[in-house]
Amino acid sequence: MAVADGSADGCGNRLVLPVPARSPHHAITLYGFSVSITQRTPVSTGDMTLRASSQSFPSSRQAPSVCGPPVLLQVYGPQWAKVGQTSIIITGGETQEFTYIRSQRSNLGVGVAVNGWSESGTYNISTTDTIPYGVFGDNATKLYQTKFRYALYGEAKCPEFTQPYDYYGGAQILNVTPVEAQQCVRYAAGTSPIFDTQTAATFSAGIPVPAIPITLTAQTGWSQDGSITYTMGPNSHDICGASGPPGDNPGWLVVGLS
Amino acid sequence: MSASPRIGGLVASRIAAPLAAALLATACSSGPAIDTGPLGNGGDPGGLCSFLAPGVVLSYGATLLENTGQSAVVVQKVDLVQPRHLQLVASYVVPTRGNFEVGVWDGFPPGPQPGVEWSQRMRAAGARIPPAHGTHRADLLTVLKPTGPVAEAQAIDVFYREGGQQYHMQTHVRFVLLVGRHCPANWPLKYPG
Repeated sequence: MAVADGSADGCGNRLVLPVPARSPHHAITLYGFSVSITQRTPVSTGDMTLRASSQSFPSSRQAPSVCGPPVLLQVYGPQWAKVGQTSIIITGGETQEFTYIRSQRSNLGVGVAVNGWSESGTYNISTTDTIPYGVFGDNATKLYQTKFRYALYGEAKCPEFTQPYDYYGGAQILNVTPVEAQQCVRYAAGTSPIFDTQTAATFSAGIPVPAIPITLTAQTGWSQDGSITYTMGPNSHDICGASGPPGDNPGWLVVGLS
Repeated sequence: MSASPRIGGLVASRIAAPLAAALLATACSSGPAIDTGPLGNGGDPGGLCSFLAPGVVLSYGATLLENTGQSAVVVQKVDLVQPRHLQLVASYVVPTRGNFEVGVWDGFPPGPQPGVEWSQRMRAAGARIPPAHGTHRADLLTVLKPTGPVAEAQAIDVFYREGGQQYHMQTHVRFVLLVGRHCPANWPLKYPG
């Protein structure tokens, strides 16, 4: 963990916040406040060096310090990325809703061409649209998607790499199989909890880059600008998290014990 | 039942803004820093709207208390943050096992349930929470009583000590309890706090 400069905390104090060393630029949320953090200088991590990101060119991936400046070679067509999932595996009049919000951050995989294409790290990209995917009923698991574009970059003395270029938009909802979730909390009939989970689970095959071809991970931090809402029907039911209880890093959330 | 394009953002901001104000106000006082102690960061942000029949309380037992410290935590006080027409009738620390929590119930807690050591419950003030081991943890159960048709609170405060240090955990779940009416689909917009 590196230590990065933050901003004042409202009391005239300067915040010093730990940030992961691998990502040179962060926008994090502290108690509902967005705090933009930039590392002071490039940080060495073993034989790798991170460069500070620029406004005009994304450069989040790790790369040897001998690399030349990245050059945009090609922008690929838009691809659907998985950004959220809700699930009700029972039938009892419950509803589910996912909203993906403008400025919501998605961490999408970065591909590097070293002995073939493989994933190496993620790139944090913000959206420019708000997508209310609508309200759906019970006995269904919904996967929510929106589009991003990837681009191919080259660097002198270093392998080519591909990472997100921009947010493209659009909305697609698919019916999928529910995940297993067994860390449950019962919610009474008529309750309507909202979960603004800081870090959602990662879709291991989140977004394809057909031109390579490679399929990269996608993770959406629902953060303060996105949410999952479940509404209980006339009976109480469990809401279950896959990796933790619903209120504490659940990963996936499912209504009904699986 | 369709959401407006800005619902999510407004929902989030209207949940987060009062919390942030409360947090800043507390952070500027001489009290302990919030959410830095062995009971963790107060969990994920969110909200809960609940329909209640007149005269009925809500038992909220979805606040995990996992002591990651080296010695027992002693809870000193549990309170509501910025309550409006809402009373904290009682609060308990309930030992739990496995993947279970007490849950959210209309009415008083139902008593024994799988994974919930109900007979071992303690009044929250003065309760000792040993360091978590295995799947043994604890849950905070608060009993909330509306005193008006729309009852609200921005969060729950837990003040506690561990190892001679004073700590303050604040949850990030806002409450809206509606007496005699159901929660609308976009309840954070209609009840922005």
